[in-house]
Amino acid sequence: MFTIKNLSMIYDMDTDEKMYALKGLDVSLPDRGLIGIIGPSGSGKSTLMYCLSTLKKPTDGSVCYNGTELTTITDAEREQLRRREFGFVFQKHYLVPYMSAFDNVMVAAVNNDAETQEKAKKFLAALGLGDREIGKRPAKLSGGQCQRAAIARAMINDPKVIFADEPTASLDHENAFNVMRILKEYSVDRLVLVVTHDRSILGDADRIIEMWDGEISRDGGTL
Amino acid sequence: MKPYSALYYVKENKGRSLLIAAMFFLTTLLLLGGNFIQSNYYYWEGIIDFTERVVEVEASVNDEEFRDYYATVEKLSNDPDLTVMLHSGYGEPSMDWTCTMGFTMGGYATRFNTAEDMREAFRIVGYHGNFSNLRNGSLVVSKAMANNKGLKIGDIVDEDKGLSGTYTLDGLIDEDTYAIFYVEEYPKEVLTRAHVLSETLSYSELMDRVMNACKGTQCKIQKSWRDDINGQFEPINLIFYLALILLSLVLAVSVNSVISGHYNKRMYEFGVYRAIGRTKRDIRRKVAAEIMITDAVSVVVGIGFVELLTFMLNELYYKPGGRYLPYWSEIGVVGLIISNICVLLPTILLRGRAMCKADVTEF
Repeated sequence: MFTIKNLSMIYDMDTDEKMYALKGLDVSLPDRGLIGIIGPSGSGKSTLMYCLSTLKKPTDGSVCYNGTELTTITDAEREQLRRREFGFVFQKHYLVPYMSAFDNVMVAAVNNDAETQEKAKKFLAALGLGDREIGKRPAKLSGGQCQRAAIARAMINDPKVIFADEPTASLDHENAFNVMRILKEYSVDRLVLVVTHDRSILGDADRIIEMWDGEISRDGGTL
Repeated sequence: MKPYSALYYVKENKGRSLLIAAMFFLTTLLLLGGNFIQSNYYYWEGIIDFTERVVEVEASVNDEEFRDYYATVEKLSNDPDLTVMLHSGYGEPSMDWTCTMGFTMGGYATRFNTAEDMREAFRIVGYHGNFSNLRNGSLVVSKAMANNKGLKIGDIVDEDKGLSGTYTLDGLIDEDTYAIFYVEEYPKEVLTRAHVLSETLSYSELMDRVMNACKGTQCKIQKSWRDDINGQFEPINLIFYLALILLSLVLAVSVNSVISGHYNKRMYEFGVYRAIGRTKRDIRRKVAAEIMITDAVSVVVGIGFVELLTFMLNELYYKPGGRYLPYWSEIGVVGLIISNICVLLPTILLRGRAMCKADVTEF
């Protein structure tokens, strides 16, 4: 699904000392499965995810998604891709505070029809958010419930890829494993990329890519 | 209601939206300010209207034995569409009035040679009131003017009120006009002015007839006061517009700083919208719609407030004193529009642009 060649990302381009977040990465990713990208802070794992998801443009190299070169597509094409084919789960849930859990899911939906609304309710229910919870605003929900609502938001358009950046960082152990279970289920026929520094949550990962100092230090293993 | 819609945001964030609306509400006060300044013009409207209903023809001092004048008057009198009333035109002192802004203004006065002439002229012009007691030495003013000067029927008006003669207030006109009218009889030989009126002709038609009759004579024609009065108000209006632009800029800066603080708190929300594929155009539209909805509400409420305040001021304060604050005015409306645009446009453009730059990866 993704073919990455010689991918580099340099921060502080204008200064004499260039800071490489990614140094000439080469990697290919399949179109299904749960893939963990692991590494310490500053290793470039989040930057890699941002480059793959078009949230950031790399300084150099190529990111090919299903035959489309993502580094050269237009802003409009990038937005369409993120809207229809990619889903995002962030470290913090980033739910909109004045919307209910249900509306937070619907805000990402491409369609706002009855069918999609039903689907959103089903997703939320499957994620353990019942009728009472889905009408509540994020402030009235627990951290785990918020993160599960954020996952429902990421899934509402049936994206081909879900990018999850430290999705369990603000959760307790039980909630963290619940979130990972949900992502694992989704990865049966789609690709889920999980960026984390917490090895323990990647027990079910199909593949783990380890990063160190902007480079891939190990690729292919599982825990 | 779609959760991404601007209306949803306003509905779910009434407190914040009210704060923004309160800022835009300030722009509607420019309507009140404009009306207040334009109120000066209001006092002249009745006078201008009178000068467009009644054209004045005057004999020239060079006109030997007033031959031209009498010939012209005869010509005009023979026109079936016209009514001609001769009068002396001797010193016609007007009375000052106190205007809405609190200072005094001078006005317009005219004379009729007989009470019958005055009644007929009032009928043609469309003034209503009880004019049955008019006689030589009568003074007639509007009810508004009488209130303004503290006069009532039967009052003797003389030098104390700024008049050169002594007159009795014998009639009150229902319509608001700040012109004053005298009945003062003089012998035929000194009636060197003529009021020319028409029940059927417009001002321009009336003027054409009078000008045709006066063509080639030494007679003078007094034209409408409209251009003169407008000319005098132009500098005042200009000062208002300059002050308005200055005030709008101050308002624009204040509103922008309040609104930018408010939107900065929502930066991550817009970052998420960008991440999930909302286009920059979508974001700009959302910001513009949110701001425009609050602006529209505040303008409607603001105009309602200004109109209510104007009504209360008029009924409780201005009208009893023979003064008036207009409910709307050209410069008030233009002022409101200019100031609203000055505040609204940069807010929409700057906030829309700022929110497009929201990047969820930087939080």
